[in-house]
Amino acid sequence: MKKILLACAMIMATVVAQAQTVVEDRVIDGESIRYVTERLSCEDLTALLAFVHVDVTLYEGKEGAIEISYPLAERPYINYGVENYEGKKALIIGRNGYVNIPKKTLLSEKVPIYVRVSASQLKRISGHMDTMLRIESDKFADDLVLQNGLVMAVVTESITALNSLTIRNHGTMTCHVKEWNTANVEVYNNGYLYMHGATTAKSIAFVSAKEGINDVCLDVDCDVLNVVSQGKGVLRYRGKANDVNVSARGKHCTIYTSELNW
Amino acid sequence: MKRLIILFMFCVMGMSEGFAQQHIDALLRGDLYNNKKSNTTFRMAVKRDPVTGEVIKKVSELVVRDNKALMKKFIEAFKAEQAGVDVWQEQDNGNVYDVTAIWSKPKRIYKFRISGSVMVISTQVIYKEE
Repeated sequence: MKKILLACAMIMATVVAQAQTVVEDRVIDGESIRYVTERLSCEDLTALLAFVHVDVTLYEGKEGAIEISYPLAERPYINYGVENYEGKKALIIGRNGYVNIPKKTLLSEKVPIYVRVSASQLKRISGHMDTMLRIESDKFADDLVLQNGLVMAVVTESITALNSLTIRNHGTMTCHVKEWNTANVEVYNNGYLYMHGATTAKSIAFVSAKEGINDVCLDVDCDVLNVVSQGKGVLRYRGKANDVNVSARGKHCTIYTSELNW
Repeated sequence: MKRLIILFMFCVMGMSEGFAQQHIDALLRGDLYNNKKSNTTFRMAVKRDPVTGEVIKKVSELVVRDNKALMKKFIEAFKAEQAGVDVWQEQDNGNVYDVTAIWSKPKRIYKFRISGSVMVISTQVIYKEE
């Protein structure tokens, strides 16, 4: 009888464990790839750091719910979890042996790790490979930092961080964002940045480094607009600004402020 | 038995071509570069449908300076690919060595140029024709 009860308990434990893991086939470009989905939770998540190709969706659900789907073949190499980062909780996703012992990988911009997160207090989202960021739930901490190390695409109607919104781009970043809702915008561009939209920020600071290439067009209504550019491309600001300071040292950067009412 | 051996040989050939292409892509990973030790600059851009996020095209460029070991790896990887490409163009005028390799499905255009101690590899992968 004891053995039967023990066997039943072990079977139940296996069933519960498997309930947290789902395996499914995804068809990508006609090829079927087996993905495994695992779930975890962290109620006070404040950061997301990705060191691999990811497709991230921020949605509104149970606070702290996290879902990660990755190719089953990558299972021996994938590392992810919630870690302490700068005194807060961060979801970190990486891959073993990436730097010192490169291994062949399925992961690419077409075969990413899919991440779904329901968290309303994110302060930092940082991608170091190819990051697709889909924002379905526009709820963040009062101060938000978006950081791109290689390739990042942001798709959403709006991003709201009441106090400040900082963008640090060191690669190729395309922001399909219609509204940037915040009191202060700070952008540092050392790569290629596409940023069109509108912001009600009262203070806007834009710095384009020598390697920066800009395709920026912002509708503004601000007190202070500071622009420093050593890079290339086009920076266009329209709307209203009480105080405008522009410093352009790059030969190939065009800065338009003529459509501003000062 | 003969049919099994022939079938096995076809499978091995197919797998080896697939592995060779992955070998070039494995060398083109962004996390390996942009550091002083490797003397490289790597840039990549991914064009996506702004509504669905679907990947349309990927372009990348790797510039390598004064790194003979890495140049040799890429030369070997490209040579290994030669048999499997749809189009292969090679030019060597003594000062500049140029290779263009094109695959049809999905459409990949990989260009490789060595001029002195500088190697430039540029790639385009087109997933969806616009």
